[in-house]
Amino acid sequence: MLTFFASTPFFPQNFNVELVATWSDGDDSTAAVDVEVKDGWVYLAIAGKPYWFTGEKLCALRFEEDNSQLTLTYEEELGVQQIGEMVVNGDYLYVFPSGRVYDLSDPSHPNYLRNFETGAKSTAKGLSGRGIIFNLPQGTYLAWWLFIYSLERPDSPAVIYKTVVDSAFWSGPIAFLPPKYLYAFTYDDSIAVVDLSDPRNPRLLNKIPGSYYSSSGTLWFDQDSTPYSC
Amino acid sequence: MIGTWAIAKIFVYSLIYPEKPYLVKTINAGSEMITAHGPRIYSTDMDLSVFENLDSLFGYYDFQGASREALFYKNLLYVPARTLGLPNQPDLYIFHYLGDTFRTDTPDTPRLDTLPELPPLQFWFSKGKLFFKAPEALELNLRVYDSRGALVLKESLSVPRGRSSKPLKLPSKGVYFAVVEREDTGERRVVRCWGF
Repeated sequence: MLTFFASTPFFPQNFNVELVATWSDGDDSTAAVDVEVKDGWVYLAIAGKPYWFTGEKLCALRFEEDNSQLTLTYEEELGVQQIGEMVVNGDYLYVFPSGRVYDLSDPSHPNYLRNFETGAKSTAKGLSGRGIIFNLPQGTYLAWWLFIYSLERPDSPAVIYKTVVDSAFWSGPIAFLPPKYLYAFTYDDSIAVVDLSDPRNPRLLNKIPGSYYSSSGTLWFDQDSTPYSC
Repeated sequence: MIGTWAIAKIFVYSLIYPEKPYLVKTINAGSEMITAHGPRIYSTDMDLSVFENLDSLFGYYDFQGASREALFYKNLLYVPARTLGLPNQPDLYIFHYLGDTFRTDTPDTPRLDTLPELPPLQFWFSKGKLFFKAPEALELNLRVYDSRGALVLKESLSVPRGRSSKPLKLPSKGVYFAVVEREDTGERRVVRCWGF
């Protein structure tokens, strides 16, 4: 952490970064675990203690960039460990691990449509354009699931592939390089390179020495303004 | 490029050969989550750090939010914050990275909007050296501080136009900060350095 030196007298505590806006639900016993944004609207997953991967509440906020105002327009209690990772895809919001689909046609009030199949706590996600890819621990540290969904019907994600995977290959964050490469950072200090040309039949192409335990992965292009991150 | 955070380092891999990524850079950074946009890496945990040139700290904000997520969307960075039980802590922070021009909130220092129009000086640290890329020959004041704020080195430098470097001998292991200031404009750059 950088905190220890940030307050030293010589060093400007903050520089080159401007705080534009903040928002709080007013409850010091809760915190946010994930955020999604879509055209002036912000969707927050709010958790109670112990502030881990999954939370309890979905909030929608209107963000007016001109005056830095954030206004709560929607709040829904979902229960313990129902909302962690979220993905916005067009007019739809997918909530993991509960597997809830919301219609965002009215962005101020997400409209719950249905549930789809998921597993336990999700820890990573990815949107490939053809499907959502994410993995999740299922019961024990060593057994993980990989789910791949088709978004042919975006209002109803359909599982097209799922498997228990070796945590040596799948466990950490993931990144997707269109049109077909998936990179999974693993707990055995490697990067698994997977061919998703046929998402119903992922193929492990390569496994290369990687970093130590990875908590986040991201993918970007030097010249492209569109990052793909997980 | 793909990047990943692990044990106080960001690992950056090239995807020129997408089936065989190879490590091109490690960046010392003790944060929890990274995201990237264009040439920049945003690293978050109890703070937000912005890296450019794959090793220079170009922006910093201490928000004490313990975030595990960061989302870049239309030039703003959205950071949900897991608070630590501190009162009145926000759940969401939205940040704007101001770019390459150094800005400080110290009142007696020129602000971003009052700096003269000058080509920027680029300044970074790598493998025991300070690097400069200057738009013209410049006179600089260099100061190096340790992590507690103690001054460990102070000297004047003349850097030529273009790229140049200077070996930096640090007294011991640890994190240091090098501050260079242009004598003519007062414009400053700060980078983190590591003594080994």
